[in-house]
Order: sequence, then C-alpha cells, then structure tokens
Amino acid sequence: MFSARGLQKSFGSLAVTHNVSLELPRGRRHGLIGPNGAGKTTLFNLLTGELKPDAGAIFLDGDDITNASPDARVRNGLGRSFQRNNLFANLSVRQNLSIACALQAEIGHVFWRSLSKFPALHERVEASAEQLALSAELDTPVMHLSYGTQRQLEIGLALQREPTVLLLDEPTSGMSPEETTAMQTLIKTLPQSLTILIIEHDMDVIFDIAERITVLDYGHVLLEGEPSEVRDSDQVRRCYLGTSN
Amino acid sequence: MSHHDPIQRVIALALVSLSIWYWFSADFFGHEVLAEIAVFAIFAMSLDLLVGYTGLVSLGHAAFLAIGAYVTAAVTVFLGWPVSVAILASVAASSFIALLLGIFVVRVKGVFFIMVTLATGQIVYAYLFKARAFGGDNGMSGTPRIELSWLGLDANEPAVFSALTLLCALVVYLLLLRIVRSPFGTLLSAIHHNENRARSLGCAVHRYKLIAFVMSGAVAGLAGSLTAQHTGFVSPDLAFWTVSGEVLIMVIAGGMGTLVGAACGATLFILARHTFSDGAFWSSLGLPSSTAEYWQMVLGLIFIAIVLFASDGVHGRLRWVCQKLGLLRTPNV
Repeated sequence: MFSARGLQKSFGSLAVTHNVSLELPRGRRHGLIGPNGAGKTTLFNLLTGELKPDAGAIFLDGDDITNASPDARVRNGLGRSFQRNNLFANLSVRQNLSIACALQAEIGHVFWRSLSKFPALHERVEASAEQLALSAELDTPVMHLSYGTQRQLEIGLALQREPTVLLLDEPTSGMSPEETTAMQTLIKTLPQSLTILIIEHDMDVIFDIAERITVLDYGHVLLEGEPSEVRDSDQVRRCYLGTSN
Repeated sequence: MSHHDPIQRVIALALVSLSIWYWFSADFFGHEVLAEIAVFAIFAMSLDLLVGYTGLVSLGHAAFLAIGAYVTAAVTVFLGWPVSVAILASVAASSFIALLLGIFVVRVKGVFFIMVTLATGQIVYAYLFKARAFGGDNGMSGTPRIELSWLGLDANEPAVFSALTLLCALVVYLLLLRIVRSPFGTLLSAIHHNENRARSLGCAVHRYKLIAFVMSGAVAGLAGSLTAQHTGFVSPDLAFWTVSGEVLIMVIAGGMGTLVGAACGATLFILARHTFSDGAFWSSLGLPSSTAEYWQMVLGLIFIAIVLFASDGVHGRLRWVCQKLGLLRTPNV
C-alpha cells in the first residue's frame, strides 16, 4: 500500500498542492491527469522526496517516509522515471544497467574487487537488456539511441531496483505513435504486483492503462474515480476545455 | 569504467619502462628529480580520483599533502617515532582531516565546491603559517628518511630513495586502478556523469563522495609523508593554494579520469619546471639565460595551449592519434 494523506505545498503565496490524498493498494494502476499547471509534477516531486511537503504524510507499506531522502525512498521500493530523459548519456546501455544493478545488488561499497568479477550482475544486465529489446545495443552509448528507445531504458533503469511502486512521469511524451504503442505494451507487461502511478497527457494511453484516475486542477483533487466516470464527468470536461457556458 | 583501455596500458608501460631506464642512467640530481616526479605522481593520482572519476574539482588538495608532510616531520622530530610508523600516522591524519572537512564540503557542488575546498586549504595554510609549535612560516627541518638497514639499504642514498618512491607510485597506481574498476568506482563515475539520476536509483550520493574524498586525502597524505622524507624539510608553502593549482594542472594536462594521465602530467610538469627554470636550457636555444626567470610564464602559456587545443590531455590526444591511424577501434556508434 502506497498512500499520501493531506499533502500541502506552497511556493510563496501560491498553493500548488492543496490537501491532496492518494491511496494505492498493491498492484493498482493509477492515472494522474490535469491541465498544465495543475500541480502534477509538484505532487510527483513530493512523493519522490525532491520536495518536502508543508503538511501531510506519505506512507509506503505502513512506513512513514515523509522525511526520507529521495535515495532512501528508492531503497525502500519507490522507483521513478523522469519526464525528460535522464540517463547516463555518455555511457553505454551496459554501463547504465550495470550502475542500477550494482545499486540493487548492494555491492556499491565494494572497492577492492573489479566489477567484472561479479558474473551474476552481468547475467542480470544481459537479461534486462533482452527484456527491454536492447540486446543488440548493449555497447552503444545511450546518446546514440533513438528517443523512444531512451525512454524505454529510462523505465528499464528504474525497474532494475525492483520497485514495489513505480512513478512514471509522462512516459510517452514526445514519442511517435509507434513508440507510444511500444511503451504502452511495455507498461502493460510489467508484473501485476507492481503499483504504478502514471502522469500522462495522452488520454488514450491513460484510459487504456489506468484502473483509477485522479484529476488535479489548481492543486486540488477535482475528482477521483474509474476511467469511465472521469471520461463522462462534465466537471473534468469544463476544467480541460474552459468554462464558456 | 574504462575497462579495456589500451591507451592507459600503453602509457603505464611507457612510464614504468622510462623510470627503470632513467633510474639506471641517472646521476645524483637525476635521482632527486625522479623521486620528486614519483611523489607528485602519487599526489596527482590521488586528485584524479576526485576530479576525473567523481567530478569533484578540488582547489585545496595541497592541504592533505601538507598534513601528511607535517605529521611525518612532527612525529619523527618531536616524538622520535620510526619513519615507517610516521607514514601510517600521516595517512591516518590526512584521512581523518579529509573525513572532517568532507562531511561539509561534499554537500556543495560545482563552483561552490571549488571555493569551499580553496578556503579549507587556505585555512590549513594559515594555521601552519602561524603555528609556532611547527616552526611557523620557517617550517621544520630534520625529517629523517625511512629506515631500510634491515634490507641492507640506506634510504639517504638518492638511488635507493628514488626506487622506493617509484615503487610506492606503482603500488598506489595499482590500488587506485582497482578502486576505479570496482563497483564503488563505477558508482563514482555514475555520480560524475549524472548525480541526480544516481540518486534516483537509490545511490546515497553524499556518502560515496565522502568516501572518495577520504581515500583521496589518504593517498595525498602518503605523498606528503614522502615529500617530507625527500626534502627533509616541511614548510607552510606545501599547503598553499598554488600547489593545489599545480597538481590540478598535472591532472588536466595528463588527461582526467585515467590515473596514468595524472602520473604522466606530473612527470611532464616537473620536467618542464626543471628545464624552463634552467638558464643553460635557454642559452642552448640562443636566448639569454635570464629567460629562465620567466619559467612560470612559459609553463602558463603551455597550459593555456593544452586547455584550448588538448583539453583531454596526453591520454586523450594519444587516443585520438591512435584512432586516426586506425590502431584503435572507434567506440561503437
């Protein structure tokens, strides 16, 4: 269970997150939508620990992680991907995956043994590359990969930490329709036990993936419900299209 | 993370063979220069762990050199400890000070890290300059060299001492090479490439930086202990920021993040300093021997040229040449 209760965050006099609560049981696929400036990314940053909330609390499997650092949250099972590609661009796919795997295997403190002497890690790197359809690109520097492939690796890196909760920040942003379909498939094939919170602008994608959707507007929760409720809500339509009538 | 770097191997082999060749042919002064090169190669490699691998550009690294040197001088002269123990004390003291300073300095980034290390380095300088117990601005003399009579050797012989420092440099190189190729070293370079991403993969970035800072300080302390034994004399100038600047130049000129580059940079820097400050060199070029007084200007101009045209240093240029000649497979693109 991943939950947030009564989160508040203001920048000066501007309340960007106002009394937002979320409750995500294990395995839930939860969408987070709202017009630009609704406070989606701020909420994400509160959940990942990049920002500290002014009030409210965040729980992961019963532990209060409100004051935990971003890296400690990751070690507790809270993974994230970034809206813009945020990879080790000069390093190869293999090196990118090795970094994540070394952290997951908790061998980061080992300074007396060569990384090449950890065969299990290399097997794991190769297996994940296969899963991400990147086996042929293992030794390619990440910056030479196509944008869509980088997005896949972006999520692939987060998955190396075997998170229990995965926060995806606009995983299909800037993608071609083909790449979007590939990403949708990747997300849908993730293990059922993985809890996913996803910000997405592409409504087709979110209605396809999410079991429940939270709509944010000006930092408030406008509505939380099934995709069909959200789709049929006049309130949501008004907030996206403006209140002309 | 440069696992199979042929250039690194070539430079390492070249440096080792040149040292052996020069050791056999060197005179008294030659051995002094060789020892100086070896000590600064150790010092530069210690800085490369921070600058080249972790991405922390320190302008206060001379503080650890000075701490290592002063601890060896103080415990041998005042307390009469054997030099072998003094070396360990130097390494321990510089690691400890690196730990204390590191807790604060690893929290800042970029230009602020440069400024805060510069400041901490100058604090150490200012303390040593005023500390009466350690001779103030006069420094301290009379540091003995390590006792090797159990091997039938005398470290006061220039050839013996230069061999000892060269051996130390080789051991330090192999040790640091092992560290940078380990999982720990891999994560240091991950932090260097993208600190934010490393953190969001669960890496406790500050802790890793702190350990790198302490390791780097420890090795610099060893270099300090050796320099005190080499010259028999320590002064606050060892901690001065220009020394930190010089060692940074060595690392950049040799090629950051390659270890052998730092050793190469130290070799070239010290040879250049001795050459350009020697009047006979300028006379042989048909220039007035007083040109030697401007040796710092000459070195400065060369450094500007390196930064403008060869910022990847000796290692990077050699790699470039090998790629052009088709001796080296270009990276998979």
